[in-house]
Amino acid sequence: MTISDNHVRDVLRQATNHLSGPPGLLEDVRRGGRRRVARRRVVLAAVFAAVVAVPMGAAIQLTNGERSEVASPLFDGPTRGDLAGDEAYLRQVRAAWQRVLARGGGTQLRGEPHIVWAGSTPAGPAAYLAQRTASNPVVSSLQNDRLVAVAAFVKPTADGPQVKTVEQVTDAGLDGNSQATFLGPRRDVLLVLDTGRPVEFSPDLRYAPDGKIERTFTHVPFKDGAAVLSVPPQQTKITVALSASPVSQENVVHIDGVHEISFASGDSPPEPPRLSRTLPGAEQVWGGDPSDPDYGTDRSGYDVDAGLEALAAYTDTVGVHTHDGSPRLSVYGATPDGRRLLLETIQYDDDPARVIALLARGNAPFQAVASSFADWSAPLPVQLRLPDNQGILVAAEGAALTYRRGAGQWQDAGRNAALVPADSTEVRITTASGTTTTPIGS
Amino acid sequence: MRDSRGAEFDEFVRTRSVALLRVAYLLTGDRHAAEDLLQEVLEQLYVRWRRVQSSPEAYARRALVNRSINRWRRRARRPEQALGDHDGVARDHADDVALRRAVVSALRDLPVRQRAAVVLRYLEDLPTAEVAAALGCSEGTVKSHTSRGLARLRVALAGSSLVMSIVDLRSSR
Repeated sequence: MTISDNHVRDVLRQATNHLSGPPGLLEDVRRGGRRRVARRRVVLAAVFAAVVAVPMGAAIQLTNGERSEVASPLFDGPTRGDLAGDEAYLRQVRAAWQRVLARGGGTQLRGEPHIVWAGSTPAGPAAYLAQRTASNPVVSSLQNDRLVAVAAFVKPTADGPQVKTVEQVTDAGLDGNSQATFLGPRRDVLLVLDTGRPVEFSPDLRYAPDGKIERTFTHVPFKDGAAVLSVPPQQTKITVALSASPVSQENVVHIDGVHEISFASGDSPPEPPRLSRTLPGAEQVWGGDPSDPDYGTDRSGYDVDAGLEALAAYTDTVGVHTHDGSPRLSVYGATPDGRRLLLETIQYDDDPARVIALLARGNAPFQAVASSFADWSAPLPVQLRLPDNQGILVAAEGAALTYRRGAGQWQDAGRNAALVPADSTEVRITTASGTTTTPIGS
Repeated sequence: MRDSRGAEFDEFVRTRSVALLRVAYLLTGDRHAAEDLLQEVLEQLYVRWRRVQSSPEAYARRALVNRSINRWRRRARRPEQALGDHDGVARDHADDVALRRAVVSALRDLPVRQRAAVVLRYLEDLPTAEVAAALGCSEGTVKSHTSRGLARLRVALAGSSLVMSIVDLRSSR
């Protein structure tokens, strides 16, 4: 007897009848998808991915959870700080807290607020306080974290103490909460709470001549529950960084109010334009066109982004940055000796964009091999010499490119981006507005 | 933060994930690998939702096939875990488990593109044109893959007394 087409259908269906959707698939997919999106947004990752504390006014969705006594170290000790005994100031802090509660928000609290720390700073007296919630509903479906309290920093103003952003505190601890805040009109005072972990502090961000990140960290000297640090004014961008030891993205100590500085206009800036260019010859080593959105789907492919590890020296993993809207350029190519070539740009705040060239042979991971700064206002914004005489990568969006050696003939190099020979001396950039010649290779 | 993918993406995952999991299972021959594969593809779909939301299923199917082929290549030298070892057999009827083993084993013996053509054509009941779109080849190639794959599958399944008994049972109804 032979098996008919319909029998094949039956057999295939019966062999898969036992399958049901994996539990939690949608949530897992959304989480994984967001991670993938975040990896594409290296620049903004620190802003959006790391901050997990939820401002109370924005998103608390209280349910009628079971009331239970959930421990929190916030309430374990007496008030600390040099103003812990200043009853007049503490009364003002409690009054400021009551004014916030009176404005509503729906969160049912119980007991009295506990002032965790109250002390003097160069910007004036400041505090941090918390109050238990009436119930302890689960507020994170992923980790089953339960809400235990709300807490906030209190800043000095001309009208007396004022409560800053009120955050949820869960039984998972304070790691996801702001543990520091800027104070003063110039935001040049940084108050850091002592939560029992050693913390490292970096006042500013600098770039080496090759565009690598340079940060110097020093140990935060806690005293009586907190540390008060003088920092460069944080008016339009954030240069400081805080991390528990050892310094890493996972250990970032969140600072209250960074969004007010980064997004002073009240909204996040639009995504920078993303430019992807594939050079001649790239498809042979990449196994397709990495600029094609379907690359890696139709056939096997490599990662089209360098990844955080390869760009570690260029990424401010514990800083918080936005961008100025300049393009994010990715150039895919092949070197004369057969390696995969990738050029990426990273740009923070209003700082100059940096360009990084990475090479990989076969399935090996990318290694950064050259880097510099880009100048998007220049006729030739990108020129970067590769090691081992593999050429000079040049890019000028929207331009036709030619190159020559010495006084030799001009050679066509295509449009937008090109890998020209290592001994090229000049590049000619032709756009609708004219032609410019730029020396290269020096 | 507002998610531009919204309810449409959620609805797609809820309504289509089991069908896609079935395809992934027959392509990979392993439930856990199928679940991993499906999750990878859906994450990819999430990232590209705005571009593919007019035909997400075709995109997902194509990605499933191509990723399964790549995965198969990468794991070609690694022994696969026996299907029943981690497949919740305790609650299944023994015949179902045996049938599943026979089908998966028979499919594994097919070249990957033949396997994909047979699964999409006969499990999903897709027309040849859609199978061609998923495999990234011509309809003629699909017909060739399907025909050869089906012939080999018939031979393999005919050697399974269990499959034949099921076929006999269905034929007599």
